[in-house]
Amino acid sequence: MSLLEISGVTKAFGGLLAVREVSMSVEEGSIVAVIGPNGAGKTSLFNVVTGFDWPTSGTVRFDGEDIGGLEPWQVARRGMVRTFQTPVGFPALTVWENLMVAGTKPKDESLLAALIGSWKTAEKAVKGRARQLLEDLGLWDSRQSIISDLPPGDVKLTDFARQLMFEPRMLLLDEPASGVDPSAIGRLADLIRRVRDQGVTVLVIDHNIGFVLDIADVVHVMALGEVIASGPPEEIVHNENVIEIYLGRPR
Amino acid sequence: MQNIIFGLVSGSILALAAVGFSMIRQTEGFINIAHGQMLTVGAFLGFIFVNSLGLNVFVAGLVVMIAVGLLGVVLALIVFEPVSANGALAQLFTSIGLAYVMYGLIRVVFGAKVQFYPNLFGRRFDFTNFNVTVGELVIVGLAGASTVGLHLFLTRTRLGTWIRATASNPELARLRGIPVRRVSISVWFVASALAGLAGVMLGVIGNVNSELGWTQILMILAAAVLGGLGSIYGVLAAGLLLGLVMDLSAMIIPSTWRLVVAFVVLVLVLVFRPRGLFAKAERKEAA
Amino acid sequence: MTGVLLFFVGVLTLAGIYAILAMTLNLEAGWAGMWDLGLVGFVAVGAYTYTILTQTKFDDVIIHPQLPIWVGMLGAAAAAAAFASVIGLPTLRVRGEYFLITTLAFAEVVRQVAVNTQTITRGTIGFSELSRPLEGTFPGTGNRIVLLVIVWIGVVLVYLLLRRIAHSPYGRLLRGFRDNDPVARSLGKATNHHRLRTYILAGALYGLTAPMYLWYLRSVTPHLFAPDITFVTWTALVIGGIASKRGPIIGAVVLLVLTESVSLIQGSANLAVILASMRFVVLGLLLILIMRFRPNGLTDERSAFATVQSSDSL
Repeated sequence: MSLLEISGVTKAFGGLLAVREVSMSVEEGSIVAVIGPNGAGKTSLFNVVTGFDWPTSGTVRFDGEDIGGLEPWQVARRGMVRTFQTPVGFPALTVWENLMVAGTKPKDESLLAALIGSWKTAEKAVKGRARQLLEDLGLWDSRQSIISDLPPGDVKLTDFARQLMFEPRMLLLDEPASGVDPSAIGRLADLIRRVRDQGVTVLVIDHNIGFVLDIADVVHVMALGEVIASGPPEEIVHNENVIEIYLGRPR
Repeated sequence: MQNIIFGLVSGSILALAAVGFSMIRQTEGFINIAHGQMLTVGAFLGFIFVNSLGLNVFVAGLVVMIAVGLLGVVLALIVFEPVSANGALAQLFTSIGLAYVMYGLIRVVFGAKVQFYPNLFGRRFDFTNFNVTVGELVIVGLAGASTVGLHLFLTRTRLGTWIRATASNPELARLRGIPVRRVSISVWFVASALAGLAGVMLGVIGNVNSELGWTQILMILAAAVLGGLGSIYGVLAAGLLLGLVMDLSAMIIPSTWRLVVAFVVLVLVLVFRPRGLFAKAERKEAA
Repeated sequence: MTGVLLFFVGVLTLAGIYAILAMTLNLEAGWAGMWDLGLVGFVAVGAYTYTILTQTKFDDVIIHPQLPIWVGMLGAAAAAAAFASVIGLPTLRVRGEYFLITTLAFAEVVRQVAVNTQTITRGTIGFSELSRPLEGTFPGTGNRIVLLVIVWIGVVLVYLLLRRIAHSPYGRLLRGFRDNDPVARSLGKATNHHRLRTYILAGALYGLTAPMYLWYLRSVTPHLFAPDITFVTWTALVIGGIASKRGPIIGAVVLLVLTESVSLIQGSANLAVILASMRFVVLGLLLILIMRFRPNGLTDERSAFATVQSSDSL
């Protein structure tokens, strides 16, 4: 059974069908990519899957459970975490604090916990993990910088680190390569592969075809709300429909 | 039936005040609490023109409109424009500050006593179960005429079209070369002038006192939100509706609960339609 | 005791009360991002609850159990908290300016209810001759100093409470989702629940401040609960610096001293009336000037949290 099972999901905005009967499954431990031109419905699909929007019809199953009507925070607590296209994070907090927020369990960040101080024990363990993650990503030196002071590259990296702090089972990346220096894209790809090797399933949407074909095990191509092709990268590259979508009608 | 008349009258006055408020909200981008004080200024100025200077009330009304309109422009230029860079919340709090300054000065200059316009429109028409005074007819008529005038201005003149464009999309308007400053000044003038007129009407119908600004701004806010902060015509309708609801409710519950009724209606509407009754579909908030 | 000294005792007492109000507003608006324009409603609920529960002088109302002061205080906090939880649900569903206006509307509804339910609240006449704590032990002017001390003990306690919250994961989370709610939700944070809880806590604190205000004034009428208290609190917060920790206290003291000192100017009775109105002008001018020249106030969030942030990760 796949970790994420999307069946016949449709999302309509008024008369406009942003997502049309889309079905796909994501196997645990794989990296799956969804590509397509602007307006293909990728972000709408993401929003539905992560609970930021609800499906007009169809089901979304995560680990066997129907999560269609859940709130985003409920979806997240089941192990599915997403990033956002503009990685602003928590701008008034430092890099360190951004990670700490992600790593703190609900019972330790309640008002009651604040009043009686019961959060202090668990905090130590969280600190350890945050430190490890920051060092791995080379952010340790900027840990006390406030997000709004950081250069955009570091903001993106912090974004990534913060969502990883949550220890999700599945990570959904919304355009991770956009705005990233071409020279740094290789490193980003390595990062994603490393995350997968640690047991996190990844679903990526992006424009950058080269990047996607490099990291993905399975690629789904969307256009005008529908999935028009699915398969391993080698197949997709030679798929005529896909070529037509990206390069215009063949002569 | 009598209550319907009252409702139409108070609703018309509220609509005039609220539509100007809404125009400012749309083109300038912030909630102007000081708008209520413009009504008070209008009421007092009109009172002085009619009582002490013996002016005909219609002439006085016109003079008040121009005077308050100009006051609005001046205040916008010296108080609001310099703060616009600091954001809408800063402008909101500036408007609260301005409201207090105006309130204090009004009390100093005009005193805290309640004043009354002379009984100008005493003629009454009596019907079987209700009566209408000429004053009430004049107010509803004037309000209606002003609405028509505003509509024509907004749709038939170039400036009016610019205003509507800026109101629905300020950034795009600027990019398209619409003279933003001229639009801004015009909006301030028109909105304040309408507020001044509403103030005079309030004085004619009821009384003139320094607290007017605060009681009115609450109802103006309710009408503006009810109509949908992004819709000028919705606000006009909402003002009228609110006036009617408030005065009609007086048939079932004691009239001292008027304001509560207005707010209960507001809250109920917001719960079911968080963007107001007539709001146009607004762009989604960015994450 | 000279008149001027006594005057300042009064000013500082009032400043202390506003300091608590401003710190509470800082919690809900500065840290949690809820721009509440209706806080006076909670104060009103607390004030009337306290009065109804404890007053002993009037029996023309249907509820007058004449309970001790501390019961009244708890009742005030509880009633305000209950009110917050009831109106919190619909109010917190709306965002931005609609939230501002809804909170303002609810506060005005409370005031109108106070005006119109004579059998419980004595309508526009209200209650007078309210007693102060420790009146018997410290009669006369000594009593005013006792009140000053009580209020400022309250200021310190609330400050410590809020500082504890600020340095906890809860406080950290508030300042996080205040600026970016979607990211917080993507991390499994039930942000609406946290907002509601903060709103209720704030309501309780506002309610708890009400009895102090009544001890200062010795009377309660609906007129007291016009939006003025809300706006003065906001001005105090803005002057001191939103989202800082000591800002609200500094702002309250600065604001109250400046506005109340206007009354020190001696003159004719006419002048006194003018001066009463000039206090509003001073308040308004301060707000306008701060918004124009120092919108971040006298202190700000960054400097307030800098030490915590730098020591946190060591």
